[in-house]
Amino acid sequence: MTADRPISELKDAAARDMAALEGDGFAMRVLLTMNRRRQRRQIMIGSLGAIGSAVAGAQLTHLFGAVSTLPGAERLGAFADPEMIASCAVAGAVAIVAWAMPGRA
Amino acid sequence: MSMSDEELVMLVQATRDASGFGELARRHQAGLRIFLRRLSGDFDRADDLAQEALLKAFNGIGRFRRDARFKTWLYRIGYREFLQSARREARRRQAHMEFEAAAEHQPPPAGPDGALDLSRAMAGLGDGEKAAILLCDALGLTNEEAAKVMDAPLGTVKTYVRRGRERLREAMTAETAAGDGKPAGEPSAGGGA
Repeated sequence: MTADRPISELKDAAARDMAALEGDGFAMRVLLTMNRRRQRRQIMIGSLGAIGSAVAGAQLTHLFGAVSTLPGAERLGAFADPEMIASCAVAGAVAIVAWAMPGRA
Repeated sequence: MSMSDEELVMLVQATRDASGFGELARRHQAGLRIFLRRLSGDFDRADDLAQEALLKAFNGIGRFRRDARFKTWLYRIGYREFLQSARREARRRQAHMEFEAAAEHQPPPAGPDGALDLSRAMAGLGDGEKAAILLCDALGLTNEEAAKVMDAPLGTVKTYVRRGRERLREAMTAETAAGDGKPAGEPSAGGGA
């Protein structure tokens, strides 16, 4: 047996396997799995974000109600309005969800 | 004209374009699966690991600094998946030691005409040796690239390659001699990495 036989057999086997595996649709299956996981993630983040925003939106006006009673609140004008602050907070939460949705976070 | 790997990686990093990544996956999935199949000896498990490696590569492509070929980076993720899976498997076996001990000592099935086939010879190598000769000899990576994939020093990888080739040669020589009816030494024992 020549010294290089095992290595050449290994190379030949790899070349044979490569040809057999090239077109068996594996990459397509991976893409489908990737899309399924992405959709699941979007549904989950979307649902949790919507529920969270609804709950927060309902509570935040109460929470921020105290802001308008603080000294100097009149200088903030409309921005001291609890509903305005709650809207900004919910908009911020939606922006974070939109940022996280494609998989950045 | 088709895009290079480098261009596709930049496109996917900028846009998270799934079809661009699909093209990268299509180009490199066969090499990755061959690597993992030979390494683990279990085709189904290897394909699961390859799929997980590709999904992790897509999710983490923003962290790829393009200081190596995409293929090298992908194989590195695959190798890490394999090592994690091997550790899980080892823990599982530990829990079922008595049952597994019997199966452990059964040699891999012989190839046609009783010859020690390549898979059987490969089974005698340690994981490090197996990975190194697969990457360098079967998949055409340089020693430096193999070192990146294995996250090991270059000298260690060179040693793995040299020792892996020697042990593979020994195992196949011994079997050939045994097949010819001549006395021959046993193939060297596995392990080492």
